[in-house]
Amino acid sequence: MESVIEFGPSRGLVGVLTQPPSGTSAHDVAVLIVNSGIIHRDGINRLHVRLARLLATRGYPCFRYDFPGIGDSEGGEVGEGIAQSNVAATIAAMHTLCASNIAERFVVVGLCSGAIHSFYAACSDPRIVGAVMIDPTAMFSTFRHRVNRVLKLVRRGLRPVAWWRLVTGRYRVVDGVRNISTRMTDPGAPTQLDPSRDRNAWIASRNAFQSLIERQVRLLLIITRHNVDVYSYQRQIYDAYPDVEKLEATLRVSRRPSADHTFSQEADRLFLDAEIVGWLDSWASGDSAQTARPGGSTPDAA
Amino acid sequence: VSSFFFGNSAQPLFGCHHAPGSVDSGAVVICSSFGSEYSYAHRALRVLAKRLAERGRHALRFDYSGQGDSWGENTEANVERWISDTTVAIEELRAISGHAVVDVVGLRLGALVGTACAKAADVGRLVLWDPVLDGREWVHQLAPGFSVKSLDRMAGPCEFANRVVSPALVRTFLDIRPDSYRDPGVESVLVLQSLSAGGLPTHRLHALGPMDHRVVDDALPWREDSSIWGGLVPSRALSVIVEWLGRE
Repeated sequence: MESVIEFGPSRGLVGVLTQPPSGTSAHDVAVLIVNSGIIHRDGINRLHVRLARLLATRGYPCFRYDFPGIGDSEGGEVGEGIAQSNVAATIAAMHTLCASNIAERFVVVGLCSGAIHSFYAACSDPRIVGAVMIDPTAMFSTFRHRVNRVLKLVRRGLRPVAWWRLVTGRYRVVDGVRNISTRMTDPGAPTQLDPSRDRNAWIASRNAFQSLIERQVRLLLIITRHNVDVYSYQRQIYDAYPDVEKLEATLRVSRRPSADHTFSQEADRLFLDAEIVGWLDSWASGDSAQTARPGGSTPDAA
Repeated sequence: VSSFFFGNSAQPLFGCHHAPGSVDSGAVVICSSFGSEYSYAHRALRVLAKRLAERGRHALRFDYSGQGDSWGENTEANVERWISDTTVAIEELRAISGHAVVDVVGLRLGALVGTACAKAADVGRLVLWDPVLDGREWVHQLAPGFSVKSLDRMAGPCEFANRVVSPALVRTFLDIRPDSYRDPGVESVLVLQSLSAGGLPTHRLHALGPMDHRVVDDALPWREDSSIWGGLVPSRALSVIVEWLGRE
């Protein structure tokens, strides 16, 4: 069952609530799915609609909504600045769902910039008990990651085809340099941060992780091939924050190098579905009291 | 602006109604395209609806079955149903606005859908914005690696344009040609052609029958602009549509 909810101070924000089918026992954790970039709440390739409907059949109410100025939501509805207004919109969404007795605890799911906004939201409101971050737009490097990068370049350079091209004059140095510079300036490419150069940002993110762990917030990080240049091995995030206690117990990392950034293949979409459902079921169905919500109440549904 | 579900309550369609201000001079239903073209053009069509409302028109944007927020999975999407959805949307806007005459703006595939329902739904005027005229070429644009030859061997759903759809849907797309737009049975038609879309050969335009033809040099809203990972808003193209529909 789906309903439109207009929320926020002037009801200028728009979302679609997908509730578990009647007869399904609903969990007391609802899932919030946020925008990726400026793509509206359906998600690219309708990824968010699919995920919301699947999670609802598993007992998780899902709310997909547009941040201010994106999709069908009005700009300037809440907060100032992109990060603050997006967090404010998420808080407004939770207020609305709490007031309607849909849920009191929430998990935020976001891809790309949505992953970062999920993290910000999780840091900002104690009602958020979990966050799924898919291909975040920035990652911290580690020593092993930097070694991996060098080894990758060396391996490329050692390929016989590379030497053959060089010897036969078919390797175009200018094109190679241009490709690298284009990649570096691609606005969609994730940003590689260095803990020593970007010290303040690293300290802030470390403190944020520590705070989330103290609040027992569960985290799922999903990495596709879009982010392999900035996240090159399974344990990179644990190594990036060596002094954050219990990070491994709190944050699960899942890598899918075959998937592209928008999960354009069905096999990759099925993987994403299974990862999120499996992760949620592993804790949200266990430590939450399941309550039968026959239809639930619909907050100001249009 | 109000957002709501409408139509059959078991298979609801999502719509956004942009109400006019103090002047109320007409009603327009906006039909979008398919797949990534739908996603990227969402912003431009929202701005179009807003500008139409500012000029005194009720504007209704909606999602076809199996697209956007509307009922249905991708595999259930089919053009016949979308034509029927558009008729339902026109009726909905008639009920909301009180206007018996409703105009239709169709972008890309939406132009075909709008044309197909125009006569039966008694549409006033029709705007065909960069209509898809060559289905084979369009299928190739949507899914560059897709093997059309393999369609005949497919019994079940297939992967096409980053989603799983029925082979019948792709076959319908392949059959789109200029004749598909013949005789829409409306009082006037505007064909809006974006220069950067590649241009429409003149003989293809003649197949559409009497019409106004405008060419604009503007961005293509249904294509991804890599600087923003989304579609741009083509302000000149929107102005042409708003002005044309604003004529008495």
